Order: sequence, then C-alpha cells, then structure tokens
Amino acid sequence: MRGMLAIVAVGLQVLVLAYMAAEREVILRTGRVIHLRAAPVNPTDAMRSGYVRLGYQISQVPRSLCRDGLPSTNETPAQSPVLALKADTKVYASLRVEEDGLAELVSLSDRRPADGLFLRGRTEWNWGGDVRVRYGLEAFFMEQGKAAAVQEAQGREFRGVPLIVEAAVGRNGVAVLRNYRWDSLGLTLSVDGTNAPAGRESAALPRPVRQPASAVRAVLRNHGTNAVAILDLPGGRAFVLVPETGFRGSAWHWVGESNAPPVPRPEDVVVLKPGEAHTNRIDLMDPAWFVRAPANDRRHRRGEPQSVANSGENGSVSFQLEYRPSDRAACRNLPNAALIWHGRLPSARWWPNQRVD
Amino acid sequence: MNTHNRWLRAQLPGWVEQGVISPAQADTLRGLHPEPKAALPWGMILFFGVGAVVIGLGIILLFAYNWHAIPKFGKLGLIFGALIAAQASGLRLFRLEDWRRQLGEALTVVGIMFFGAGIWLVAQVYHIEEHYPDGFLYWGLGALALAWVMPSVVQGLVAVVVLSIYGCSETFGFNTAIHWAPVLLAVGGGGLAWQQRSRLLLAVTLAGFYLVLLSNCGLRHGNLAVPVALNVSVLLVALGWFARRGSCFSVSAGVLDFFGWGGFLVVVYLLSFGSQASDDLSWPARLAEGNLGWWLAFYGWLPFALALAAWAVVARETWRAKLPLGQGGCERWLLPLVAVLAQVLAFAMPSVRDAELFGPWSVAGIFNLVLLAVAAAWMAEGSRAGELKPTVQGSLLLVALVLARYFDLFESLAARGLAFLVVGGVLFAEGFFYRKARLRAAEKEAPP
Repeated sequence: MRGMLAIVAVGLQVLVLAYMAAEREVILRTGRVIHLRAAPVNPTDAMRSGYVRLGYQISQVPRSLCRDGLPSTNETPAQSPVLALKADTKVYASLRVEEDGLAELVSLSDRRPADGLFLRGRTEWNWGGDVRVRYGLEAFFMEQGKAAAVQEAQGREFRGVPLIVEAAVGRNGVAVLRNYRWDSLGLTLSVDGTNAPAGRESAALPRPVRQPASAVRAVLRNHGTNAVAILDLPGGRAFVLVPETGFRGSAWHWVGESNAPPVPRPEDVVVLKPGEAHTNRIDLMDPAWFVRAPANDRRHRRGEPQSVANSGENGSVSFQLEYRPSDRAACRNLPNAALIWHGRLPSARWWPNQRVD
Repeated sequence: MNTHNRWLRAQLPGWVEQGVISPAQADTLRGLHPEPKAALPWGMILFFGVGAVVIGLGIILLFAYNWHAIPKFGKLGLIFGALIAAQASGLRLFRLEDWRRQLGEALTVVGIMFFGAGIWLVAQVYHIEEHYPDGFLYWGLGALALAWVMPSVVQGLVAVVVLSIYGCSETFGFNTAIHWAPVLLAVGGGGLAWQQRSRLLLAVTLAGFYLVLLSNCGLRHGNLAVPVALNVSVLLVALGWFARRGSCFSVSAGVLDFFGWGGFLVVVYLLSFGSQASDDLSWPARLAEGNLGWWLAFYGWLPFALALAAWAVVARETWRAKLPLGQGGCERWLLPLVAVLAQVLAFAMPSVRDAELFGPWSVAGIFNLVLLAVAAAWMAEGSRAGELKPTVQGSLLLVALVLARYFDLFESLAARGLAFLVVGGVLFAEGFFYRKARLRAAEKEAPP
C-alpha cells in the first residue's frame, strides 16, 4: 500500500466534507439575511429522517421575468416546451426586498448578476409559460415528528398562513436556510355557487352537483400575538383576482387588473385582535370581477368580459385571490396606520366549480 | 481442481501402504500435483464486507434517529470523527498480515460508507438541497481513489456501484448524459480488476459500464442502445480472445465472454423480431439533425470502430500464428460480420424498407439465421466433443428462437406443428450424438 497516497485519499474525503460545511457556515455568519414566503409539504427521507419540503412563490417564474439567454431557449414553439429549456440549467434570480420585508423576484437570468441581491438556482422543469426553479432551499430538515407537526399545523391552526423562511445569502448567490416562522395574517376562502345546488339531496344523484361560482368569501385571520389592522376597501378591492397562467403563457385576465384600487378611508381600517377574523364577500357576478378569455381560446368569447362562472366549465382554469392592501404611503394618515399589515397574501387556488385547493 | 488434488493427496498414503505404488512414486505424484497455495479467504472477505456495510448503515440510522438532539457542531464532529477513525484504523490494520489485513479492509469500507453518508448528513445539517448526483460522484471518486492506493477490490466494488448510480441518476433524473462516466468505469474499475486479477470486480464493472453506456446513448434516441450494445459485445468477445492468449489475466476471458456473448445474443435476439430490427437500425436516418447527429455518430460509430479494430487484430494474430480459424469456435467470426452487417443494414434500411421484398422480415430474417447458425454450431460442437455446456447452450438458443417465431411467424397450426417436429427431431439427434461422444470418451479413458 502506498501509505502517503492513502493518507491523501482520506484527506481529500475529509476536505470534501469540510468544504461543504465551511462554505455554508461562512454564508450563515456573513451572508445577507432575507425572508421568503413559502408553503410546506412534508415528505420523509429514509436516510435523513423527516424534513419539511418548501415550495416558494419565487420558484414558479413566469416567462415575462426571464432575461438574457432564458427567453430565447424558452420560446421555441416548434419544440415541446418541456424540452426547450434544459433541466438543471444554472440560473440566477434577482431579488428585491419589499416593504413587508419579504424578498420578491425581479427577474431570472442564466447570467450571474454583477451586483445586487440574487439567488443561484437550477431549473427543474419548463412548462407552458413558467419555469420551475430549485434554489437549494427546498428542504428544511428537522426531526420526524416536528416535520409532521408543521405540515399538520398548516392544515389546521395555521391554515392559509404563509410560512416565512429566513435564509442567509452569500455573494455567489448560494443561500442557506436559517429559520422559519408563521406569518401573522392568514387567508382562507370558500366559494359560493350561483344557486342552491340542485339534486344535492336527491337519492338519484349521490354525488353533489357543483354549481358555477358566484361569490368568494375571503376570511382574513390574525394568527399572531399582537393586533393587526387590515383594509376592507369597497367592493372587496383590497383583493386582486389572479388567474392561473395557462399553457405557453396563455391566461385569462381580470378586467380590474389595470384599475387602481380606491384610496383607503379611515372607515376601511379593521383592527384584528389576536385570533380575530374578518370576512370579505366578493361578488363574482359584479362586472368589476369579470375576466377575459385568452387570445387563443376558441371555446369562449375572446376579449369580452364574462363572469368567472363561464370561464372553466370543465374545471380547467383556476384562480387565486390575493390580499394586496394599499402601500404605506397611502395609509400614512389612516387610524392605526402602524398596525396595518402590508404585503401580498395569496389565497389557495380555487376553481369556478367551487373546488378549493 | 483443488477437490481432485485433495482427494489424490488423501489417497496416496493408502496406496503406498497397500503396495499399489512405491513411496518414491507417491512423492513424484505429490511433486506433479503440488498442494495448492492457500486461497483467498472469500468467506471471510464476504462476511467482513457485508458486515462492514450493514454496520455502517446501522450506525448512520442510529445517528439519524437521535440526530435532532445533537447540536450542529456535535453532528459535524461525529461525521468527521467517524470518518477519520474508521479510515485511519482501517488503513493501519491493512498494512499488517493475516486476518488483520481483512479487518482493515472492512474498516475502510465502513469508512467509505461514512464518507458517503457524511455528504448527505452535512447536507442535512445545512439544509442543502443541491444537484444530488454530485454526492454520488464525490462518494464514488473517494472510493475509487482509495481502491487504487490500498489497493482493494472491495473498495473498487463500492466505487463502481456508486459511480454507476451517479451515471444513471444523471441520465434518468436529469436527462443529462455523462459521456465520460463509462470511460471512468472502464479505466477505474476495469483497470483495478486487471491489476488485482479480480473476476468479480471485472464482472461488476462490465455490468455498470453497460448500464451507464446504454442509458447515455439511449437518452436522445432510445433505439440506439441496441446497436451500441451489439458493438460493445463484439468488442468484449475480441478482448476475451486476447485475454485467453495472454498470460497475465487469462481467467478474465470467461467474464469477457459471458458479457460479450450474452450481450450479443440478447441484441441479435431482439433484432430477430421484424419491427424491432426496423426501429433499432433506423438511427442513421437522423444523422443530419444537428446535435442529435453528432450524438448518433459518436455512439453509433465509436464502439463499432473499436470492435472492428479489435477483430482486425484477432484476424492478424490468427493469420500470423497460423492458428486454425475454427479454434475457439468458427461461430465467433460471426460477431464482427454481424457488427458490419448491422451497420450496412442501418444505412440501407430506407431502401430495404421501400423495396418491401419480404416486409419487416427482410432484415430480421438475417438475424434469425445468425441465431440459428450459432445454435447449430454450439450443438454440433457439444455433440461432437461430448461437452455438456455448448450442447445445452445451443439447445436453449434454438428453443428460444423457435418459441419467438412460434408467436409471430408461424401462423398456421400445421406450420407450428412442423416447426416443433423439426426442433424435437434435432434435439433428439443431438442427444443421441452427445451420448455417443460421451461413450467414446469413456472408452478412451478406460484402462486397457
């Protein structure tokens, strides 16, 4: 045996592990701390016990945010969009920290930004108009019971509440998870039908017939330990309607997306004590909440505003409501301005046939 | 052979005592058949190896169970401490003689398991969710480096298995072909097998090599895997010929022949089906397609060129040494011929298909004849020499071929019945001649 070479071989093994640990340790200690909105799912790993699998809002990147070499590789209609962008391509997501302290995606590029805040990631898949990116922040390892508890909490007491993940970002875009917490405000919703579901009680129809959606009840609940103020603007305009992006970027459009929301008034401010909730009913039959069909849709009246109920008879189109209160400047003179929650709070996905994800 | 030797050595004292042979003759016999050197303690190696792997896994899972209770730097300390302790003690014991050497090797296997587990455990400590095949790559390279410097067959086995997982996880998980992975396996694993004269390591390396190579070349064009497997198999049989004639690692010829002939027969069997032959030999039609064309040319031609070159050397050596062409079986010359034929047919496929002379069977028919020829050659050789192995192999091949055609060629019951009659008759005749050859051999061996 070549003794010196054997020591070198083992030394290299130790160095590989040491490099992995040291790089992350340096980032944890010196990296810039950011907060990201995430949602947990809970798989387990045979070798590494339980962990919380995290899905981030910034992981799903619409084509409109792709820059440099990405749009050209993504826009190849002759090929299958799945193959157009190679899986595991290294990409860089430029981020901006919003006024609620959460980092939001500005753009995605295949070139490393010269400066600014950015995350290094790899593409997972590319379908339609979206690119799915993995940032290496998707696994939060914890003991098996705790991981399951996080998942359970999301389905029960923290239903509709985003998980806020804290990460340290190095200069090279590598990020290391530091911690997580539940946000203070949660949003849950239920969808009402156009009329009483016909045949629900009928023995001839054992499965209930779901009627097209006519209204959405959005419930904002304070899950924190301090009071939080929210805005209840007329017509539910503290919310926006976000249709799902379809294949190759085609999507329904909400007619109100380009309309500025009304200026908030003092009577629009609602203070929620810990545990308190406030319900907003959004009337989907009101033309202000109508949607337009995508340009390539042959089944619907293109360009003409129509009710959400008409958009997806077969349940193919989904929507989200997003609570998006006015910014700090617009709320500066309102009562309890300091308590007003700012940020973007998306709901679960829901379908015009009343199904909620 | 050792069993016969032991039997002979046990009988000698009795024969001397009974006056059958003299003590001098007994000594002469002992000299002619010396006591074999102590064989490698395979049982010990096997149990130490498996035990080491299981202990390593058990320790990892025990740590995993209590992992949350250990602080971060405690976890890192455990990972590094376990790795260094296992490797240091293993390498120290490996330098010694007797059973301690095997124990040392087993400890280094535990160490390499700690290294692999350490990669995932450090990733767990820092919540790293990166490109996971890289973990297998570093693990495999670590094992391979240690396998060469120790040197250790068991470490080599770990390295080959882990690097094969790396190559396959890149192709199946990320649609990325790692072109150098089969080369690394062939050089790293095959070279060590050669150096250590290990048939086991050679066999595992060849299995990994096939797996990674075929998953690579099938990534962009699935049907390309069949012609590539054909050319690699043809190359391996040629290498087996060289190994058999060489003196340094002649026992490797059996392993090379197994993978070579095995791969060849599987591929030709697949090509004996009409539609399969038509699909698998259609790859040159897409040579003009940019990146795909380069890919097809690389995988379609490089193994073919290597196989052809190897067989050219075999032919030259046979000519130079004035060896009879039939030595080692005439049927082996079918291999390079089939490789060339597959290339010719692949390029002629559009015109053959357009001609519609016999439909899909115009190409598949040739491969049926090849299988038939190999089966006939083995059966004839086995029956003539009274050797069981070629007799059984040839018979099985014939039966497999007839069964395949039973379902897709012989449509009428009369044809099927006739086919079975013919095959039954052939097998009956083969049994008759085989028995006769055995009797002839027994008569020759019997004392006058």
